[in-house]
Order: sequence, then C-alpha cells, then structure tokens
Amino acid sequence: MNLRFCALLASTLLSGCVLTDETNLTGGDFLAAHGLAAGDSTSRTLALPVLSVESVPMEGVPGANGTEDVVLGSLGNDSIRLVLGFDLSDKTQWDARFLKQKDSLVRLRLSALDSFPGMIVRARFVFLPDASFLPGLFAGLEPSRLGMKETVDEAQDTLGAASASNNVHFPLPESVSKQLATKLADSASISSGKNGWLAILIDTRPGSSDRKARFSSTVQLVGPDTAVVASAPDTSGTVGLGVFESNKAWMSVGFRQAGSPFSFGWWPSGGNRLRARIDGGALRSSMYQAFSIANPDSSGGFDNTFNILQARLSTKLSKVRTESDPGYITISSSVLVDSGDEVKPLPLRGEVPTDSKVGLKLNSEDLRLAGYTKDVELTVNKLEGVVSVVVNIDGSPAVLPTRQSLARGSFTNWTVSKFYLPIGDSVEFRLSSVIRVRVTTSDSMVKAKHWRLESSPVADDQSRNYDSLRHDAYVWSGTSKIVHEARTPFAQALNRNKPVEFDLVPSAFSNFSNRLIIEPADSAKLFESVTVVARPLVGRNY
Amino acid sequence: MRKILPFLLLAGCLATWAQSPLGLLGWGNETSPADGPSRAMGDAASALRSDKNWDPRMEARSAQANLAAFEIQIAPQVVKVEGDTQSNTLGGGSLPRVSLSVPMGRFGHLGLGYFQRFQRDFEWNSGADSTLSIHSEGGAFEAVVGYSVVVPGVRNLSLGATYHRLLGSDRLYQETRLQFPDEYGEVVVRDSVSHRYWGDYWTVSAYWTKADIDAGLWVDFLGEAEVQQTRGANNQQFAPRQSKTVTPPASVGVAGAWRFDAKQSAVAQIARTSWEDAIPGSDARWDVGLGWQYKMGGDRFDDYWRQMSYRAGLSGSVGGPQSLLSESATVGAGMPMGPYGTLDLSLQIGQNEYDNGGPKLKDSFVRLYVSITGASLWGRSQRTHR
Repeated sequence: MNLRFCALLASTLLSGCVLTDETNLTGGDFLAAHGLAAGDSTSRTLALPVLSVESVPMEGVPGANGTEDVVLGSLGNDSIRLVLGFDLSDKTQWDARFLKQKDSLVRLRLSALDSFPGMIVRARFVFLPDASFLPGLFAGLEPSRLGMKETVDEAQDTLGAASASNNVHFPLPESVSKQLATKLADSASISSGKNGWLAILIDTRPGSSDRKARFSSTVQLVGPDTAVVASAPDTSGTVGLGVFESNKAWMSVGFRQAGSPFSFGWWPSGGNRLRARIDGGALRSSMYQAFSIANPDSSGGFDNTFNILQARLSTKLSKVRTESDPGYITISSSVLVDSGDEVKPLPLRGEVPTDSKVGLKLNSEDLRLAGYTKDVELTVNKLEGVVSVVVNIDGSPAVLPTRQSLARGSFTNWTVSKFYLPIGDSVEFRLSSVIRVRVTTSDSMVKAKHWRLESSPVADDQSRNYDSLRHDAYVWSGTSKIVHEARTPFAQALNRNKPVEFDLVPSAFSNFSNRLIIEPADSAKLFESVTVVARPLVGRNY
Repeated sequence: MRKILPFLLLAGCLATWAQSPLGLLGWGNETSPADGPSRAMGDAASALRSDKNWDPRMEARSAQANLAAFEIQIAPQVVKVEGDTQSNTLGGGSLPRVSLSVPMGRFGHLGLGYFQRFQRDFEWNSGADSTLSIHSEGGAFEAVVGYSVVVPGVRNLSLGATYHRLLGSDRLYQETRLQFPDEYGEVVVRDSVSHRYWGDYWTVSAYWTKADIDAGLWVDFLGEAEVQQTRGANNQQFAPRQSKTVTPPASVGVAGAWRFDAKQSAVAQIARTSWEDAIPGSDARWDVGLGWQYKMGGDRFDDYWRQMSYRAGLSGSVGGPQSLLSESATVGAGMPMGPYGTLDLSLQIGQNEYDNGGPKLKDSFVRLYVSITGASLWGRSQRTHR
C-alpha cells in the first residue's frame, strides 16, 4: 500500500497537478516555422468585386388569393390595387332575404381594420363569364390584356375617412347595380352556374402623402338600407366575396411605378431581391494584396489561405421607404454547383385545354445527386394572361412554400400545390434545400431553369444582444448605409471555386401588407466595401 | 485487480494531458516499447534474460521465459519547454503499454500488447493574442502479436517474429475565440489538420543466451502504412483527402547483456531507425543505451529492501524527423509484489533539443515510468519453475 501510495503521489506531482504552469505560451515561433501560421488576426477594408447584379423575385411561389390582407393604398408613386371577386351563382355567400328587389345591391361595403384618412379611388367593375379570368386579375393584369368581352364600368369616388371597426361604402354605378339585379333574379342561370363573376378592381391615386387602408375580409355588396356600424344587423340583402380555389376571392397587388429605379423590397403579393454574383478571382487577389500573402494556398481549386473571423459588408442606399420602421434585410449566399434548363413553346391561345398543358422535366442527374429517385416534372397550363404551374414529384403535386412562408423563415406555413404566373414574369423557388428552380414565361414559351446548390443558402446572425439586432443592420426610412455581418457568405465567396451569389433579401413584417422599398446607391457594384478580420489558415505547409 | 485499479484510473487521466509542441514534428512524440526494468537501464535491456518481461522488438528473448505476465505501464512527466524567448513548465503523461506475455513451454511463447508509440498531444496559447490557441491530440499506436520458439536442438538460441498493426489518428487544430463588442454570440473559428494511420510491419528477432552472456538482434521489415491527411475549417472546403502509402519507421537493433556477477548485470543496446520514407527529408535516428542492474537477491523472509533490484542507465538519440539531440539518465528500482509480480519504477531525467536552423525548442523533462507486472505460473507447478 505504501509503495502504491508513493508511486501515485510521484505520478500526480509529475503529471501536472502541482508542477505545471496554467497555459503553455512557449513554442509560437517554432510552430509558425513549421507551417502552423500562429499569426494574429488583422483587419483590412477592401472592395467586394461583383460580376453582375440582377433583380429576382422574392423566393417562394406566389401566395394564393385570399391569404394576405385586404388592403389599398399608395407609397409615393407606388400603389396597391385591390381585386375583389363575387361569384354570382354561389348562393352560399348571399344573405338573400332582400335580394328579390331588382335594385337591391347599390354599394360595396368594406370594414376598416385600422383608421385611415380617406382616399380617392377608381373602381372598375367587370362581369366575367367564368373564373378562368380571375388568376389574371389577381396577378394585377389589366382587363384589356385578358381579352374579355364583358363590359367594364368605371367609377371614381372618395373612400371616406374611417376609424377602425367602421364600415365604409363605395357606390356601385347604376349600370352595374342593374346588371346585378338582372343576374341575381334569374334563377335558371343561377342554378346552372352561368351567372359568372363580378370582379371589382380598386386603384388608389398616387399622391404626395402615403396612404393605406386595411380592411377585414368581410367584403360585401349591400343594399341601400344597410347598417353603417359593423356590428349592427343589415336590413337589406348582401352578397359576400366568392370562393376561388378554396380561398376567398380577393387579392391586393402592389405596383411599382413604371420606370422606377432599381430596387428591392417587399410589397403586397410581391417583392424582389437583388442578387450579386461575386467575382471570386478578383476577390482573392485583393485579399492576398490586402493581407500581404505571398504564398496563397489554392491547391485543389479551393482557396484555403484565410480563416474569416468577421466580414462587415456595407451597402450604400439612395432611398429607403418603409411603412414601419425599422425594416430588416438579410444577406445570404449560395454556391452554384450545376445548372440546367428546359424550354418549351406555349400553345397559342384558343387551343383546347388539354393541348394547353406543357410538361417540363428537370435534369435527372442533378436530382439524383440531390436525393430524388424520380424525375420532377412541371405541368404548365396556359390560361387567360397567366399560366398555372403544378410541380409533380413522383407523379403527385408537390406542396410548395409561398413567399409569405419563406419570408418568415418557414417552409410549411402558407403553402400551395398550384400557383399562377403572369405571362412575361418569372418566379423562383426551391424544390429542396439544394435545388433552386426558376420558371420564366413569355407569350411564346415557358422555361424552367434549375440550379443545384452546394447547400442551403446561408446568412449570418446580426444579433447585438439577446433580443435586438445591431443598429446598422436595420433599415430605417432615410437610412443611407447598412452594414451586415457576412462572414459565412464572404468565406464561401473566397474559398469556393464555383460561382457564388449574394442575395439581399428583405424580410416580411408581421403584417404582410407593410411595404419596404430600398434603392441601392450603386446598382452596378451594389456593395460599397467589406471590412474583413482574418487570419491565415493552419496547416498550409504542414 | 484492486492493486492496479488506481494506476488504471491515473492512466486514463494522463492520456489527455498536454505535452510539448515538439510533438508537432514527425508522427508525434515517440515512446519506445521497452519493458519496465529496461526503462530504468537506459532502454538498453532488451537482451537481458528475464522470466517474465516481454519486449516486442526482442520477441525471441521471451521464448526462454517461464512466467505468464501482464504488464501495464504509465509515464507521468514534467517538461520544461524552452523557446528562444520564453519557457513553460508542463505536466503530462502517457500510457506507453499494456501487454500480456504467455509462455507455452515447448510450443513457444505468445505475446500480445497495446503500445502507444506516437503522441501529438500538446497545447499552445498565444501570449500576444489571447483569443488564439493551438491544440493537438491523439496519435498512432500499435496492436502487436508476437511468437517465438527455442530452436530445436539449440537450446541457447531462440527465434521470434512479431506482427505490428499500426493504427490510430491525430488531430491538430487552431482555435480563435472572439467576442466582438457589438455581437451577441462568441465567434469560434477552428481549422484543423488530422491524420489517420493504418498499416503494418513485421519484426524478426534472434536471441542467444549462454552462461552470463545474452545477446539479441531485431530487424523491422515488410512495412507499409497508409497515412491520410485531412484538413478542415469553418466555412471552408478543401481538396479531397490526401492519402499516401509509406514505409513506417523501421529499426534495426542489437542488444547485449553481461551478467558479470551473481547480482549484477550490464546491458547495452544500439538501434538505427529509418524515417526517410515516412517523413521525406528526414534523417535516420540512432538510439544508444547503457545500463546496469543490481539484484539484491533476497527472498521473502529478508527485509524488503533486500528483495529489491536497483538499476541505472544512460541513453541518447540523434536525428530522426525531429532532428533531435536527446540525452537522458535513469535510475530505478524493482520491487517485488507477491510471489512473482513486481513494481518497477524508473525516474528519467533528460532533454530533447531541437535545433534545425530556425527557432529552437528544448524540452527538459523528468519522467517517472511506473510499471506493474503481475506474473504467475500458468499450467505448470511451482516445482517445475526454474
């Protein structure tokens, strides 16, 4: 026992429990001389070279009708259109006690969710033969572009000022009221579903002051003797919004003024990002120069010279317009590994519906590498002014996240299995975390392009403390520069031998109808500079 | 088992403690596979005849052994690391070997063992930048099977062969931990270089013993090892893993012992280890050792100190991938535990000096090898034990 005790005691002493320093500081020069670049981290500021900058739609497929707010308004020269659809054959949306009178429906009634100051609006009333025209109108297309033969009536009036929970009324033109009375009184056409739809398009007049009115989804056509207060019972007949594809038939569409400056932002039913493709070669050269690196490590095509500790990316802005300060954007990066596309002609309008379907297959090799066992096929169907797109995986329609979902960081809320795309527009979404798809249409063709990404797009945290972000990562009305931490995107751009893209992505507000429009000061370079804290990577010569 | 449990626990702790940055070079800090008594005799007693001690290099010696033995060895140490401008005192240790030696009478001898041959464990912190540190861990070890037999008709000569399975991995990483004042989370960035070792080699040995002279030699050959190097870092991709097949370090050695007195023995050993293929550009390393042992020879009825053995030795090395000039002196004692077992202690004091034209580094160390050997007669009565 004594022997063992002595041996243990000596072992304990020698093995460092007593005879040792806390940390070893000796050997730094020796380690550096043998390829362990134990150098201090240093900070340098340099330009971020970009090859191109493009505007791309918000990620995710367009949200379905009836899923955002019923909203009208203008922000400078940008405006919001409200499109309402009433199914004149759907009796379930009627309160029919008073609809027997031929002139019973004379107003459109909206119920304000927030107070608003009143605004001059122009309303157009379009009787549609069937619902096939609705997707085009919901996408913001003009009735004239849809080639409709039904009459269009127009009215202009002031949508009176209202406080929250107040009803406001807009008068229907007499001709519209009469047509409604005729259609609703014809029981034969109602029962056969031939009454069609009444679509109402309401536009605000852009003004010097910003206006917005948000309404509840209880939008009705009402009679002359209707109650003014929302909670009071009506004493005349009403017709509520129709149902199109399982959702209430309304859509608010944000419009940017024609010829608006290059921008990115978020607005009702729309929005876009700015995408910069980074010039990796130029970036590496400027990093070597900035950090005085004589022997960069680029074996195997990857640059493994630096470890990026911080990369603050500053972007100068010429204009920020936001309804709710502050707004927030992220900078995310994607590494493109491979891409492929397929283009097919769209059938001429007027062909039979079965011939209007077009199937596009994505490149099977990329899908196999991404884990798919079967081909993915896009079924594109041409309608009036738009195409409908269904993405089939293993023969079944895929459930795709919409832009509302992705803007909130979710893949499962606000999803659709079919979306509509105006002819001439494009949409971008991801089939999986690493397969990005862009569908582009024109009058004569539809194109599906896909990219295989190295991994899901990455962005860095901007948190300053537990519950707030760094101040200069926010965008406020009037902000002239934002600075984002982008160490991960920057490291990707520096390290990879594949194309790397940075996306400036606006985040959605809790209220989807809030708008954020940002114009960069330099649409060609986008980023002003990047300040990098880096140190050489270990093992370059080891 | 109760007797060695504390040592096993201590050995588990030692395996994680830091060593000198010299472990960066070559395959890491190397530990010879010597047995407990040999440690105290300058690592030079591979040829000294023994009833129970097994040296995998000199497997042929064990063909003459009679006792089955289990040996576990731990080696705590204190190292004073001196650079050009700074020095530090570090504690650490290793578990050099766990082995089982089984004599099978006329069927020869079988040896099994684990040997921690290379260790890369060390830590370094930057004095100028408190956020930066370098860590290294792991190493290559050997699983060994040896067989030897007395040459029929030539009782004094035995031959042995040993198979070494070389395996293991090490990892070296640089870490930066930064807390930027305007960021919530700490930034932790790591980049690493790791190696995996997989290979084997053979050793053949010959041993001759007669009267008071013992002599032996060994040769490593047929070695082939795959060394994979992988780099990693946050947000970085690297070229595909590099793998190369090399000849692992192979040694040739001769050892001798002269039992010039009933109680005293002198031993000597010299070995050359080639590193040229494993680490291109490396010189071969020469290891020499000299030792002396005095066995008091008392029996269990004598005072305990009269039952002990006393040992001393000198050893030195030059060359190798670490371009070392190493010298050390050892003193030790063998203390009986039970009928056949021993506790062998060896205190080694020495230094390893690296001077290759660049920044210098010198380790001055005090190391204690603690070996416990439990031995017994398997399948033979005590009467037949010579």
